[in-house]
Amino acid sequence: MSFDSSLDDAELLTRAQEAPEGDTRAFEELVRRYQAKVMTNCRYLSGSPSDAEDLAQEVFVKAYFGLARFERRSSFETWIRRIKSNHCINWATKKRLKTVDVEPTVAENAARTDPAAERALDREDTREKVGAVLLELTETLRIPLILRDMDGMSYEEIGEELGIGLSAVKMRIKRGREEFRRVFAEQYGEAV
Amino acid sequence: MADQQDDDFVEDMGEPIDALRDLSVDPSDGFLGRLRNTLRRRDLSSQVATLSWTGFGAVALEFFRMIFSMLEPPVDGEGED
Repeated sequence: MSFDSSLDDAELLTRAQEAPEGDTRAFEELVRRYQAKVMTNCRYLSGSPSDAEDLAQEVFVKAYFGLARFERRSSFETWIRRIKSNHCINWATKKRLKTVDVEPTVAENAARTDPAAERALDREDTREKVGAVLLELTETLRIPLILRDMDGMSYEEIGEELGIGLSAVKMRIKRGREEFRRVFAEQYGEAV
Repeated sequence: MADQQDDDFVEDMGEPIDALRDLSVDPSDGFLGRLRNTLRRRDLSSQVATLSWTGFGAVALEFFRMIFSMLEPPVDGEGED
């Protein structure tokens, strides 16, 4: 059952906040609008494709139960972006504390060992290549790069989110872009 | 001073990677349904929790009322005349 999709985010948010208990229709419409973006971000911020959907679900659950407290000083998009970044970065940090070594991506391992998989990787479209290269980057470079180039967050916001200084943010983004382009060119022989 | 130098040093951060903006991963088909179920389940648990506390509060309140009513002196005391 779809809610009126012609309504803008602000109106849907009002309806979601004023909805009687158990009526999630307005909120679900907001989820429909942002699920792909949240899912994409969760996948690449966490670096774990298999956990991305659970993370995305938790982000929306947090948003739903936080609706009553949301004072609307920012747009729904900004708010959900903040929840998503916090949640995924915390998750990645906890995971890093548990597992010391970084897992190489499945795609890369397969490509190195299996010529058929290598050919399959060659057939992937640009999006998949971009995603695969992104997952190659270390978390230190990948997360600021995603927050900046995918999410469009300001350097100040990124610094605040990661608890690092402005120059560190800029440095990581610069290195992240360089590393991304280098790995992409190395793996696919083309520029991005 | 050192920070200023660092900022200057990283002033040129290279061109943004535009391809990242186009990156999109759709959740599986049942995503919304599962989310809806999770919301209902957690809603229900929070209602049950609230109800439990309310119930516990009501019982405690009645208990203390009973204690206080037992300790209070009788209003129409016997043998006053």
